[in-house]
Amino acid sequence: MREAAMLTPNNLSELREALGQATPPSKILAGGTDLVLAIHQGRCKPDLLIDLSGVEELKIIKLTEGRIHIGAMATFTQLMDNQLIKGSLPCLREAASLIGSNQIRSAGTIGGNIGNASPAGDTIPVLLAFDAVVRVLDSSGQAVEQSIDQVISGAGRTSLRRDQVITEIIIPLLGEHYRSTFVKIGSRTAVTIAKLNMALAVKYDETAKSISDVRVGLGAIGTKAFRERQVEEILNGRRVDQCLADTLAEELSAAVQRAIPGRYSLPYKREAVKGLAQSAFANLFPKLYGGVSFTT
Amino acid sequence: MSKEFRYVGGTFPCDQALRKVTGDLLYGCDMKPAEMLYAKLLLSPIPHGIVKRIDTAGAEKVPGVVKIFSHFNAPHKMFNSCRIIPGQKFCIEDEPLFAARVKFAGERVAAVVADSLAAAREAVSLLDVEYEELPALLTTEEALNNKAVKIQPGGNLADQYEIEVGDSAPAADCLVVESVTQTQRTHHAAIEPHVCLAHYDGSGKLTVWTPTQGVFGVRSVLAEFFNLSYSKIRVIKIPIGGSFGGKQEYLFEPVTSFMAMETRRPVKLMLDREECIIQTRVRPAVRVKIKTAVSRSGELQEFIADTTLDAGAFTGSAVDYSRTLATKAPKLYRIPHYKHTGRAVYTNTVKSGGARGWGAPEIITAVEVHMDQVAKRLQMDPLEFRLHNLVYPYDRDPVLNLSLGDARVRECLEKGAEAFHWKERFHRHAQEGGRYRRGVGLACGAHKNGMYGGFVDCTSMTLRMNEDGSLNLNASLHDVGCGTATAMKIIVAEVLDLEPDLITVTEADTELTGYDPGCYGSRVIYNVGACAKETAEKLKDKIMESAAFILQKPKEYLCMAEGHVFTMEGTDERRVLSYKEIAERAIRENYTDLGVAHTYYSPSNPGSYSVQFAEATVDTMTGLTRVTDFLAVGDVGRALNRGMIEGQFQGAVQMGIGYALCEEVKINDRGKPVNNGFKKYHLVNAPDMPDVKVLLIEHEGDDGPFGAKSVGEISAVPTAGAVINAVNHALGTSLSDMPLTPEKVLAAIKQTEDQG
Ligand SMILES: Cc1cc2nc3c(=O)[nH]c(=O)nc-3n(C[C@H](O)[C@H](O)[C@H](O)COP(=O)(O)OP(=O)(O)OC[C@H]3O[C@@H](n4cnc5c(N)ncnc54)[C@H](O)[C@@H]3O)c2cc1C
Repeated sequence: MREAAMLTPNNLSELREALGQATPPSKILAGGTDLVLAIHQGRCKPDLLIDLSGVEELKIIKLTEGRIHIGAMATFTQLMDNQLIKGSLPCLREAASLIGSNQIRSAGTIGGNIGNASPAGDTIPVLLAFDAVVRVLDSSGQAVEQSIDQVISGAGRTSLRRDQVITEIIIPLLGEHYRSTFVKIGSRTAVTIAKLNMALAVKYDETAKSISDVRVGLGAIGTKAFRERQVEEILNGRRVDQCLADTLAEELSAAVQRAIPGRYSLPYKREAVKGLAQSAFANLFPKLYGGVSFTT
Repeated sequence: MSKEFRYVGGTFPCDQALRKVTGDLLYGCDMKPAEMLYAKLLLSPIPHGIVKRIDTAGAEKVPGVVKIFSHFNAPHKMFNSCRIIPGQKFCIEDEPLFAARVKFAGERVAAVVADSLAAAREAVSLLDVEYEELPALLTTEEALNNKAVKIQPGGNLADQYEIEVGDSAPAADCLVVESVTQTQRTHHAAIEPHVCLAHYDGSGKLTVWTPTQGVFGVRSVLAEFFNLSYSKIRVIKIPIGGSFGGKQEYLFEPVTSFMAMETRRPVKLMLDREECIIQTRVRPAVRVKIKTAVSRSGELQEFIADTTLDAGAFTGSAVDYSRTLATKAPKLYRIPHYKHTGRAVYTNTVKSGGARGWGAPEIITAVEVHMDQVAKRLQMDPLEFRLHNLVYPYDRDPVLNLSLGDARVRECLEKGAEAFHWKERFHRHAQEGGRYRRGVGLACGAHKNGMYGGFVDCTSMTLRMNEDGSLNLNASLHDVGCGTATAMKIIVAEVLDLEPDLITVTEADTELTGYDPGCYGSRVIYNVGACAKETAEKLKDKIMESAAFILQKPKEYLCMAEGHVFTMEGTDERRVLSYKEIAERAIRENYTDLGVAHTYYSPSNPGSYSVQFAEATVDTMTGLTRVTDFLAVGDVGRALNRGMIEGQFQGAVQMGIGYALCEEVKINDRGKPVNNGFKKYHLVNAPDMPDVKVLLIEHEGDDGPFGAKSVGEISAVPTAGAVINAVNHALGTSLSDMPLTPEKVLAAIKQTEDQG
């Protein structure tokens, strides 16, 4: 059996050098919660592993010029504990808290969640809803900003070249009138891969009791997560009431139907997404709902 | 519960608990004798076909490879993986070491033995096998209908039977209810994957280290298979990381021994999770049809069951398992006319095998789901309906013609219903609406205590008091993690009134410990424990005799307490001897050691019972179900180790909820298992577990030690039934196609809505 070589750069310039040595089978190693499994199962046979754990710059979460910068190596636990995220991006915090188990959240990273490009990745719908961009660095030192949609090209596929690495995820802050939530359905409560997940963000007008700038990021349907613009349009400008929740449910159901016609999982997902919609609505507008759930 | 016990009924950690949690205890995967080789198996990717050719050229070139085995260089002789004694009924020998014709996806085709696991793995990936594919029969219906394709030489029907007791005389205005329940294949999910280490030494002796549940069965199968003398085979039970019946059968001992004999070096075979799921054993899928006739006042008149068990590709334990299905309902209910027809059917799927409860969870789930349907039709509270029909203490089991002993299922039901507030909750939840609906369900279950009335059930042990008054109990124990060794210590400690910690007990080793058929069949506490008690009593006698000799007082004037023998009050002068003094002086002055040997035969086989109560909450929009409250009541005779028994119930409930709601080894239409890891094979994990309350009913009416009866299996019998009944109560449905996945729950909700 071939053994992979391992490089652990200590800063961004060493990282650039390391990227220069990458060949097509080389791999970037973040928390390893996807990659190590793939290696053990023989799905991936890297010759070189570029371990990001030594690059401290990649672990920083900060706010500059109205944008939150999240280092690619920020773990889910870090996202859950960070005050900035808690205050400005509660729905990213919710998504992080619903990923895997304590162990996975302590090791797994946001960069890895994008790099893994699973259709069910839980941070992806959130990043889509917030129009996040990804900063990508290459071996020559050049850095570019790309949208999530550009980086993730399909199920398990990214457009990243072998000498490219995601260094940070940049999320423009929405104003204070925005509300957002993340909801997920798996086959159990915790340690479960999403069968459906969704981020919902809206601008809420307290006086008119209406919403605008609606953003719907949907995941675990088809080969990659997407923004459901048609549903967003229908919801924009509408008054918040139970009828709107039902509209969201019906429209999402139609969206699932459009996304995966004929798929084996369609009959279930088309129904269950209505529950997802109601939960999301209840989270955004708790007063509208009695707040009944499993725990009560 | 009038008696005062010193140790019985307390809570003691299971043997080796500290070593387990600190990592100090060595398991099979840690063992590495000098010169050891690693074996890796190649498993069939197709469900049915002939292994025509294996190109080993690439694999042989891998450095470190020692030998490659397949049917081309291995004996074609067959064995049976659950046979305990030679010529055992129903144990057809039809499993090969390596398949010449593979009969399920996952069957052993070849193995590589190498210096390192990495080399063995790589070489296996380079083996190139040519198969001639044959049509695969993946369901029991296909297997029964297709006469052209024969999975086994005799056809696809492994066994069929019919049992009938009582006469059919249902009243004319009887209510007749019919139901069909489909149970699914499940994986045992012991956290330790299967492992086996074997060595054939220069003297021609074969030693096998295995986390088995029965060393003597393993020895017997190996001796007959390899034509070796029983005295030249030593099978040693090593620490086990869970079994639940999955390590009860001798799956890898023959093949590992064969490779060790061929290479003359120690060979270790370790499986990974995928291999455990697709090629060991699964709890069998069973289709159960039940038809009952019930009087309008709720008395069962007639019970007719028909079961079809999916045996998988060969016989193993399937015939016995299938026949056992007919023996559970009559232990639970008084049934004037009982009839059961059943069959076991070969299919080209993963082999079925023993699993916690041996048929009882399968049939009892179907029975209890059915009973709720009957109660609903009678518009009767399911509790009341059961009270009309449950057995009473010392009723006779009409099928096995045995006494049920001090069967306390009615008491379990009544006390449990009170503690769970059944009546209120049953009526309250039925009226609730909304997205999240709650329901409650109950189920009763019956199981047994050993093999008496059907099979060998004897055990032999020796007990010695050492010079310092401590004890060594030599017994063929196979602790599978449920506290067997500790239980034996408690029993002996109670009889001899000394600290359990002063006792060391052995586990099974065919060369050193007495005969015992194995630790399964709910026979351990009831029979092996009873043996420990009698053995300790025998030793007590001997200690008293020694003390009598030393003190020159008749035994009748002596008593025993707290590690000492006293002269009784009222005798002239009061004298005391410690166990240490007695043991020392027995050797020094009496030229005898304080040791006894004892063999015990089980005299009875009463029923063990459990009644369980579940509250389920169903999200009617997503179909996701959670069990939100649970009470398990156990008719345990006597609790020996209370904390351990509670643990057994809590663990059983975790398995039972998974059985009801999510666990299933799924096989696709090309015969391949699709959920071959814990990513897709979901167990119920901690966040989804309710707080499981346990209530124990104790009486001392049977022959177990201090009245104790079996717990480990009966605890897992009624759980799924209670959960399914709770879901049906919440939704007004009659779901019985297991497991109740969100997909099936949503479909059922839609169906009831459509029906108005
Ligand atoms: C038990 C378990 C439960 C899980 N539960 C969930 C869940 O609930 N939700 C969920 O979304 N996921 C879940 N996962 C998957 C996994 O934890 C996540 O996808 C995680 O985000 C991966 O991050 P990582 O740091 O471990 O990535 P790694 O495994 O190190 O890498 C994953 C991939 O991304 C690439 N990569 C990593 N970092 C970068 C980078 N900075 N630039 C470019 N490429 C990069 C790697 O080369 C690799 O291809 C689970 C995994 C396990 C084992």
